[in-house]
This record gives sequence, C-alpha cells and structure tokens, in this order.
Amino acid sequence: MLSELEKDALKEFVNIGFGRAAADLSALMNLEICLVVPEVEVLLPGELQGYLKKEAGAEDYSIIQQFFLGNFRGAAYLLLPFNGGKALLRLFGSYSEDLLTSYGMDALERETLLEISNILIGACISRVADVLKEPVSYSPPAFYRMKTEPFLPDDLMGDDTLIITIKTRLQFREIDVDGYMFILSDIRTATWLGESIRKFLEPYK
Amino acid sequence: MNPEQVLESLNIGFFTLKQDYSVGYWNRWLENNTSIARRQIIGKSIFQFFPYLRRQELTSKIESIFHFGHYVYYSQKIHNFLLAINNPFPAANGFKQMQQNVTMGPLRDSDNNIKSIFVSITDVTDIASKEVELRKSTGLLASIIDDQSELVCRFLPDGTLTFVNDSFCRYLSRSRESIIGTSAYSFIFKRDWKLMLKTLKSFTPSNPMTNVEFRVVLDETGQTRWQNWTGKAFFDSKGAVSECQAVGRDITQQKLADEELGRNREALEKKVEERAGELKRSEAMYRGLFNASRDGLVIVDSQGMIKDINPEFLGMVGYAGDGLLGVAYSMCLADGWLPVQDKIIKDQVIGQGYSDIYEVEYTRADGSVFPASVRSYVTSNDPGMIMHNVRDITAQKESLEERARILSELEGKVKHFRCLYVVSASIKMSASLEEMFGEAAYMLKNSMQHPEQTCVRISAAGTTYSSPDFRETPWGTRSEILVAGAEPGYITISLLQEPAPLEKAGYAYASGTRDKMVLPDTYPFSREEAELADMVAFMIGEDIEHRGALDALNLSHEKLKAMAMRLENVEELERTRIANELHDQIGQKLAFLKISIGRLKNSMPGGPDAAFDRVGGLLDEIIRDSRTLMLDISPSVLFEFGFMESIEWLADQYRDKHGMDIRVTSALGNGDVPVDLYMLLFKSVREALNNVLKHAEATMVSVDMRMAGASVRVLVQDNGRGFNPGGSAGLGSVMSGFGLFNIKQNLGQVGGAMSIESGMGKGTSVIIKIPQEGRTRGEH
Repeated sequence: MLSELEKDALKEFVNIGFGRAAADLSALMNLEICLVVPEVEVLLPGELQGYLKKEAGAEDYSIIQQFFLGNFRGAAYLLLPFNGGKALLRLFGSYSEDLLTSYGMDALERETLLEISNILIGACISRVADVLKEPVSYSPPAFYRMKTEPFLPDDLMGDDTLIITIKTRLQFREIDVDGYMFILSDIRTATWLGESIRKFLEPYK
Repeated sequence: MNPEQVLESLNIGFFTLKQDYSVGYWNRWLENNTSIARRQIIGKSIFQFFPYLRRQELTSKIESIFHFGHYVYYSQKIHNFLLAINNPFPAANGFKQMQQNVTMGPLRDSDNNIKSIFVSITDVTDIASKEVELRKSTGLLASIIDDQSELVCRFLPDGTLTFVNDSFCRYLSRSRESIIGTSAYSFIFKRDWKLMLKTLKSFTPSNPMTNVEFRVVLDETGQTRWQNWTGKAFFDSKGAVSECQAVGRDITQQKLADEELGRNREALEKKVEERAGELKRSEAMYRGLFNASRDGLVIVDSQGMIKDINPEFLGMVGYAGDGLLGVAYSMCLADGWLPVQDKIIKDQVIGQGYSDIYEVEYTRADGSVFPASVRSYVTSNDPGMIMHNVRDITAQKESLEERARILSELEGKVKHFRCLYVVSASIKMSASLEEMFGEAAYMLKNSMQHPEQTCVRISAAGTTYSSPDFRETPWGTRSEILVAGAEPGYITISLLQEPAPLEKAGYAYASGTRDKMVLPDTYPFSREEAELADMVAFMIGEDIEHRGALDALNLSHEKLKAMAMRLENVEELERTRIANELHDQIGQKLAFLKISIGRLKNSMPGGPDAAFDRVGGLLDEIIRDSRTLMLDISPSVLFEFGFMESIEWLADQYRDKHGMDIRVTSALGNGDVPVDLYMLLFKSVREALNNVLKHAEATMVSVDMRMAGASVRVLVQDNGRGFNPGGSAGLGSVMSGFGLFNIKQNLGQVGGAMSIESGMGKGTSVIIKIPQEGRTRGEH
C-alpha cells in the first residue's frame, strides 16, 4: 500500500507534526514534553496485537482512546503507565483535598488523563493534519485501564482494515513518566495518505 | 433548517468566543440561566461578565483550540463549572452553583481557518448530585465492604479486577492500586482456571448468581489457600455479562478440616466396619458360647422378664423352644426364693457387678423342684440386664448327702476298726488279760454313739475288768466270750441314761405308719455297735484259747528239747561205746597182729619179704580205716590228742577224701577252748565243711580259730559260688538242712551263735562263736 519512500515521507510528516505539537504544548501549556521520532508500520489486523505487545509490552496501562475524523481519520491511543496519571496530577496543578475526597484519586487521575490526552492527541493529530493540509474533527476521548491486548475497537479490525501504526514515545521531562501514542488508520486513510504523499512528492521527483 | 433554531431549542448552554474572548453567540439557555441577555453580552469580552474565567489554565486551553483545532473537555468532576450559575435548588442537591460539563471546540470558516470557538455547557447538577449521593452510598458501601472480613471484589468478564476491598488487599498483602486492573486469574491456582471460566460462562440473566470454590496462590508465601466465592453477574442490555461482583472467604482451614474430617471419617468408617465385623464375630461367638454353655444361662431385664435363655437352662427347667422368652423369670424360681435372689442382686450384683455363688431352687415345667448353684452378673452391654449362670446341683446335693452318710458310716467304722486294732495290738503285745480287758473296755466305750453315757464290763477266764462308771442298767447289750473247754465270759455295755426319744434318734417309721418306728433288735445300740462288741468278745475268746495253746506248746517244746538232748546223749554214748569197742577189741588186736608179722619177718631172714611187706601194708590200711571209722563214729577219742589236732585231722580227712584245699589257722592259746565244747565246736566245723562240700563248689576253704573278746570264734570261709541271703535260695534254705539247724540250736543252748554271710559269687563265711565264761578250759 505504501512504499518505503512513502512510509518515510509519512514518518517525516508525523515527525514534523509532532515536533510542532511539542513546541506548541511547551509554549501554550507550559508542558515540557519530548516526542521521540515516530516509527511507522503498516500492519494487518491480525498482526496488531502482537505488534502492540511487542512494542508496549504486557504492562498495565491507562489508555485514552480518541477517534479523529476527516480524510485523515483513525483512532489515536495514548498509553500511560498504570498510576502514571497520578504523577501528571502534580504536573497540572494541585487539586484540592475536597476533590480528592469527593472523587478519589482514581477518578481524578482519569479526568486528568482525559484532559491531558485530549490536548496531546489533539496537538499531534492536528499538526499531522496540518502538514497534510487536511482538517480533522474529534470524538470525545474515552478512558480504559487494561493490558494492551484487548483494547482495539471492532470496526478497526475488519477484513479490509489496513493498519498504519505511528508509534512515538512521550517523555515528560519534569516527571518520570514515559508513555506511548499509537495512531491507527484504516485502508481508506491509507489510500488517501498514499495519494497525498505522492502528490506532495511529485514536485521533488 | 436553521441551525440557530437547534441551538436555541437545546437544553444546553451554547456560546462562541472569538480569539479576543469576545462573545459571538449567546443562546437562550444562557440567557435564562445567567440572566444575561444576549444583547448585553454579544460583542463583549466574556471576562467582563465572568472575570474569574481569566486564568491561565483556561485561557491556555482556549488558545490550544485556536492553535491545534482540537476539542477541550472541561470536566465537572475537576472544575465543577465554567460559568458560575446559581443552583435554584441548593438544598435538594447540595450545590450552590450549577454543575457543568463543558466542551470547547474549533469553529472553522470556509477557508478552514479557526476564527472562533464554541463553548457548550451541560447542566449536570442532578447527575453530580446523584453521583455525590452515589459516592456517599458507595463510600458507605465501600467502607462497609472494606470493613467486611470477607473478600469483596468486582471484575470484568475477562477477569480484570475493577474493585477490591481492604480485606482482599490484606489477604493478598498487596495494595489496592496494584490489584485493580490485574486479572483475577493471576492469583487463582492454574488448575482451577477451567473451573473459573466455566463459572463465568454459567452466568445468565435467569441464573445470575453462583457459588464456587477454588484455590488461590498467595504471592508472598507461595502457599495455596482455598476460597469460597459467591458471585453475581450484572448484564448489559444485550444480556451479556458486563461485570461481576463476588464475595469470598478463606475456607482453607475448613477444607483442611474437611479433608482431615474426611480422612478421619474414612478411618472411622473403616474402624466402624472393622468393629462391626468384630462385633458380629464377637456376637456370633457369644451366641455360640451362650448356646453351647454347659451351664444354664438366662438374661433377665429390669422388669424381671426373661430376655434371653440358652438351651441348657431350657433343658433344666423342662421347657422347649422360645417358650420362656418374655415370661416372668419368677415363674422359674421355686416358692420363696425370689426375695432371696433379689436381695443378693441388690446387695452384691448392683454394687460390684457380680455375685458370689449362691444356692436357690428352681421349678421345672412338671412342677418338680431342683436345687441349683447360681452366679449372677450385670451384663456388660446393658446395665439393667442381669445374667444368671445356673448349674443344676441335684446330683451334687445327693452326692453330698450320700457322702455325708458314707462319711458318718465311715467314721463309725473307723472307730470300730480302731477299737479292733487296739484290742488286737493289745493281744499281740501279750499284755495280761486284765490289761487287755482294760484296753478293750476303753475302746468299746469310746466307739459307741454316746461314749459319755456308756459304761463297759468284760469278764472271762477268771478275770474281770469294769470301766470306772460301770453299772448295770435296763438299757444295755451283752456279748458272749466263748472259750473252748471253759466257762464263757461276757462283755456288758450299758447306757447310763435313758435313751433319747425315738424321733430324735433318727430311726425311720415303719412303712405306711407314722407312729411305729423300725427299731433294731440291739436297741438302744445300733447293729454296728452290737456287732463290734461281738467281735471284741470273739477276739478275747480267741486270745484266751491261744494263750492256753501256747502254754501247751511251750511245754511240749521243752519236753521235745529234753528228749532230743537225751537222744543225742544216748547216741553219743552208744557211739563212744562202739568206738571204744573198736579201739579196744579190734584196734588193739590189729596192732598186735602187725607186731607179730613184724617179728615173723625178722625171724625168717631171706624169706619172702615182699609178701610180709604186702601183709604189713594191708594191716596199716586196716588199722587206719578202723581208726577213721572210730573217729567217724565218735570223734571224742581224738580229743585225747587235743582240739586243734582234731580239727587238723578233720581237715586231712576232707583233703584226702574229697580233694578239698583246706587251710587251718589258729590263734587260740592253751585253754582257750572249754573242754565241754570240744565236741560241739568240732561238729560245727564238720557241719560247715559238709555244707561247703555239698553246696559251695569251692576250690579252697579256710578254717580260722581265735578269740573274739570273751568268745571262741571259729570262721569257716570258702571261695565258692555263694548265695543271696535274701533270695529264695538264701539263708533259709541253707539253714533248712537239719545239720546246721541242729548245730545252731545246740550253740544256742550254750549261749553261742552261728551266723552265715554270703553273696552271689563271693563265697560263704560261717562264723561260730561260743562264750568261754564259766567253762572248763582244756588244752589243745
């Protein structure tokens, strides 16, 4: 579906987009974050589980899922280590004891992760979409706590699904939390991506 | 369709903000809830109306929307509200302000540029209130759950734990955070996973609850524990399990106890089985012994009813089959014995479990009564039951009575035999008649039934003895003492008192009467007593006759001895006369003839010497033979030459005639042998040598003569075959020959003695001793 050159190009697009996102997050959110150079893979659905297990291991993660829509469409997954959200609470300001008492740490962690991942995913996807000059819209994020194995939605796992995985690693400088972001797209997106990339590369051939 | 109509009709707040934070749109909901009309706020900065919104945390989010074009979600849980709108019902739900969920997102123009953002506000006050209540109740529930000693958890269908209580955490020694989100399978024993899966699959809306037991592995110790869980499934709208809640408890101890109980039960069942088998065998053995017992066995319950009975007892009482089972035991006892037995049971059996042996009487089916010895026991398996071990002692009783009777008879007979023995001994001891009568009277008196009332008198052969208390009474018996050729004597036995009444004397009534006793004709003495007196009288009579016969015999014996002595003397005188005649008449003439022949020979020198020699030799033989004949007839002539020479001559005779090797030794001195004993000693030695010749088969005989104290001792000893003095061919037979017997008698006459010692193969020694005291000693 995507040639190696096209894969590399996509990788660059994502890298650029993530880089801009990181800079924007730093400026806007005062959030020092490093997004490692992404790895792009194209997989069949049956290979995804193994890929995720291999890449992210069998740890327990807090997983935020957010769908994005447009020509560039798919699902973005932010994986943070179990209890990593608690560390992020410190990062995003102190919450009152009342809140902790009312909702408990788990609830606060969940809400915090939802807010943060929303921003992170939005930033990354937006900038990639900007590079591809395609607008995107988003569904509300959803929170899961599980191992990496069974979390993928069924509609992404159909027979005609071709999965493009874009994996990066988030490193929060101020706190010792490392996470993963996966962006999964289906074959239609892959087709469109391929065409967009080819169009982009056309002048350079 | 006008989109604005939609926004106006929505029950949510909706406004827009430009990048300068001025309000572009303010919908009716906002007008109603904020009391700020749109015409008031549109085009104005939002911060003018809500100054607290100017905070970096919010403005940065708004900026990021403009920048990234993403959505921002402002959660009520964290922020409570965006716009402070008073809650119209604070008392109802506890919130002063409206609780709001806010969504902010980009609004793009036709060029796809983000020129403004929308802000959507949803009133979630009620939801928040419910959530607060829910949290409260959940918190309360959680605290209740946490306070439970039982384990409580919730988990997803795949086993992922979503909630655990404190007990659960303590049980696994892990924090809640480390447990939530993990799979329950991680601590369930692997072999029980199938059971867990099966349990989860068993949940259906119609069957939402179940109970299961499985094992868990504790991380820290690695030990396996058993748990019992009661689970309930919650279902989604499609009827699939969405979540499960379970309450569990550790049942390891119970399981171990159950296992132990199971093992103990198995062991116990085995023991019970073995015991039952033993009991069966024991019961069979008991039944066998019970039925086979030679004693009657009957078991009686506390009500006095027969519960069990063996064939022996049935036979004793003359019943068959089960006729006595369930019947009152008292029916078997003879009249008057039940209280006796009851007392024994109360005094002995109840206290110590068994009784001594006692006697009762039982009644047979035919009404007859028999005596029995009984020992009673408490049965070991039922204290209320008594077992009687019964033995029919009829034969024993009869035997005892018979024995008593025999004993009594025997005692009587012993007394009588003693009496007879004493009388006999008295007779044997040759006591005087008076002494013998005294002994007999004493024994007779004490042999009677009532010695203290009995007196005795014995009178015979001119002698009378009476017991000191004797007197004639009307109650007596008399026994006759018969003596041949003499007047009879009597034994009189009298009772000093009138006899006891007839009934007390134990006499039997005549058959068919109640007043006529059957009396012996020896009354008041028994037949045995009268017979005893008769026997003693007979013995006394015999003794008196014997005494007379003995005297006569002694007299005859003396006469015979005197005749024998006279005869011997006469014989000796005759022998001496013949010997003297031979010596005087023939011997002298033979001697003269020999002398004459000698002279004749000398007068005829050169004559027939041989003929004279032959005649001389013949004459010597005739002289020698005649001398021998003389000595044989009357050896006393030898005594003229001396006793020793006579013994030497005797020894020569035996040597010459019989070839016996006889050695004669003597240590006698002159005068040691009394003259008047020469002949007796000579004859004794000659008789001893004759015996050696006849019986001994000896090759050598020695004759030794010496003094033994004050007696002359002659020892004749041979090396012959000897004999056994105690055997049938012993001393008695040796002495049965008249010669030795006569010698012994003669020796006895002079105070001497002859003894013979011998042994089989050891030869024989005849020892003759004669005391020399008071005798005329001669030369030898």
